[in-house]
Amino acid sequence: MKCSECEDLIYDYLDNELEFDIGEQMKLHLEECLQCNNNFLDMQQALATFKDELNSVKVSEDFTQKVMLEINNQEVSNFFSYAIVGLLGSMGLAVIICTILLYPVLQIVTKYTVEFFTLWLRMASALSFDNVLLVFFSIVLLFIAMAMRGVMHMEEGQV
Amino acid sequence: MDESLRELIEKARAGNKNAFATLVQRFQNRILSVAYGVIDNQQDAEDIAQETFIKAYNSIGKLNHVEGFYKWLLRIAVNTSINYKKNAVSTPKVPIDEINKLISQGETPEEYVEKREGIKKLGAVLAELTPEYRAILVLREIEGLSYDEIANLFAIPLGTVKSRINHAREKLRQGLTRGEKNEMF
Repeated sequence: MKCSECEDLIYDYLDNELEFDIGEQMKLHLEECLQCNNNFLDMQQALATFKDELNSVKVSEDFTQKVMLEINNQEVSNFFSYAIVGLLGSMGLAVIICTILLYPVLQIVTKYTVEFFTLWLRMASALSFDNVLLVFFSIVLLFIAMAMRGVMHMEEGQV
Repeated sequence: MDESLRELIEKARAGNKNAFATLVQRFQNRILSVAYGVIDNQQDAEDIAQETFIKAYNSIGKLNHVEGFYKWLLRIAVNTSINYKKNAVSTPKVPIDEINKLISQGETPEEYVEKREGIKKLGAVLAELTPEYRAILVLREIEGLSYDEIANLFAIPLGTVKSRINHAREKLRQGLTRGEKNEMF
């Protein structure tokens, strides 16, 4: 085996991923070639240093307590956030209901709006998803066509 | 996976905080090592480890397979570390060798100096690698994950994983041996 081949295969040899025959050739070459053997030993040494350094680190003694404390704090904070949002939402809803009750015209508008959306939802639920998309895009195309027609008329009028 | 670990994960998924705390104790140093490999210093790595466990607690209900718990935890740790590293460019940081002054105990002065020198060299080598390269190197060398597992974890081709690992190893070899050879003169 040549030194260049050895260099190319050194990582696969290190990972024990070479076929048996090639692995044996590598082994033989490393025994015979001082430079390749030194490179291989350097590599092993570098990886050992890397592993030792990374494995030597340990968390502080109160790490678990800190994590659990932070989790508890976040839960309390989330609870208050939801409570505030809920409270503000309820207040907003109460204001809307009071306003509607005060003005009869708003009650009529609300009634027809609810009826319109109920009807729309019934129609949409009766269609499959693809058909809803089809209807949606048809409406968009119709809108674009009407807008273009309006623009053309405007141009004609201007001319 | 042993039965006690499976039981702990199941309990944690059901919202049992004591079970989750036991899981934290069990994996905290391994997660710290992974974060430490991607980040330059231990203090930041500990913050990342903490963030990893908090994220894990918040989303453990979404974990589909109990068997995949540790890989899932690793993915959170690696992503958190990489994002942290990318966002922390402008913020000042404590170098890898400075922080270790604090944790050095029970060694002779010579051993301590030697250890610090080793860490300093390692820090310099790691600084030359991007967080992604470091993360892959850590997963391979420290966690012992296969190339396939790393490719799945990062959603990148197997060939890319191999080339990145070998590039990182080569940097490591050059950096650490260069330091040693320079010391001889």
